[in-house]
Amino acid sequence: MPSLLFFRALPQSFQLKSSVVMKQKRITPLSLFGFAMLSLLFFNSIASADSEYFSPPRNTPKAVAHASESQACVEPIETMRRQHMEFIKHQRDETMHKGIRTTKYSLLECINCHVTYDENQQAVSYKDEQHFCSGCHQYAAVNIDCFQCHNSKPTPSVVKPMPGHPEFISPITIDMAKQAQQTTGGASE
Amino acid sequence: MNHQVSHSAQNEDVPHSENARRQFFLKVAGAGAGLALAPSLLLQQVAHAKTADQAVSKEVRWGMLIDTSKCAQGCDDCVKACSEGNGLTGHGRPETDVQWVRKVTVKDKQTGKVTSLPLMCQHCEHPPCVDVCPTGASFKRDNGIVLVDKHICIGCRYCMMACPYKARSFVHEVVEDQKAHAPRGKGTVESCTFCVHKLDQGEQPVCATACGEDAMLFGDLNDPDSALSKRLQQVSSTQLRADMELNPGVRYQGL
Repeated sequence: MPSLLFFRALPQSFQLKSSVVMKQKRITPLSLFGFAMLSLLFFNSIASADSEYFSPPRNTPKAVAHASESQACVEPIETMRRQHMEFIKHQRDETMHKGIRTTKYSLLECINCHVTYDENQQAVSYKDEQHFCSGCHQYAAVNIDCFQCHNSKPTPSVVKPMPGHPEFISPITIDMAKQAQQTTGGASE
Repeated sequence: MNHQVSHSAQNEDVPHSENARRQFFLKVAGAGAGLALAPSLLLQQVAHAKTADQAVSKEVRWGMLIDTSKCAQGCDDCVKACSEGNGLTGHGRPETDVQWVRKVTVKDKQTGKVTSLPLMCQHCEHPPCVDVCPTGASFKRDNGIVLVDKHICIGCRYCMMACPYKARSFVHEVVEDQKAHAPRGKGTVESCTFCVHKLDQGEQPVCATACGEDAMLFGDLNDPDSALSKRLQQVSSTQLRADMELNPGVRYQGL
């Protein structure tokens, strides 16, 4: 729409400007026209970027538990959404070459925490759409191959009960317990 | 993590010479403490158990002594333990199935003496597999373990050609339900890791603990007080293909 309007308004303003400028600096009408078009495109793209790219994506898959609003991931959720791959990659090199096996940014811990269960209370693999990693990667059209080598299911000894599991405790309850601990701890100090 | 960050920040503030002096003092103090503790602690467990956030150290070099006179013919406890511990599943095709440790029977043609021994990655000091790797996937850790970084392995198999011990395998088929601590997948080369996930937590490789005959002794070659070093001082041991001067970390007794 804006470009159509521009074309209609073009002849008048174009003649005015060209008569003034052309004498002194020898700017051809064609280059002036090109500049106008480019600037229009530029402003247009900024406007659209504002509305589409910089706003949070809609209908993203929701993470189950341990990454809810009440119980955050190892970093703020916004940071994790954009940078989780960098954390994991950094940790991967540290572990592979230096033998550093902290769990904070390890892929193993991602899987152990973000496990999802199917209706039979079995942990789903990355081939299932419900899988935490796959759900989002499919949405974002990302094709990563972590799980060609890494197991996409959690380690049974480490796994915590999740929604759908009979022993699951709501993370909100856990949070309240934690907060209670913190407040009592703070009071005693 | 937080601890590490604050530590490095602290170091930056200190002048360089001061820093070096501190590090030297720490080393001396550490060595002194190690000597004092050595007789009581180090014989009991794998020495230098590091915490999860510590990097591996060059001061350690892991190695193994295999007593072939104890190794029973027909016994494959170590092979089974390795397959079980690292989730090495086969497809009943010995030609292409992955094997990190295999039993080898050798016969002296002149005397007729038959010896059975387990053969795995020898964790060379100068590993030819690392020399030939075009991507840097094949590498040697500071603590002497030779590993494949499967994230950057392209599966060209040059390392398999270069290894004189035939220690490496190529994963030909899709792998599922891997062990969480031993990721492995189609299209990469792999070999014995000395159970690196266990080592990093101060435990021994599964083959050494599984050996019913007590024929595999694992330890730190650089630590003169380790059980391995002491045994190596007393008994005569050989390296396989010592003529290649690769200085393998695995040595054999009674060959």
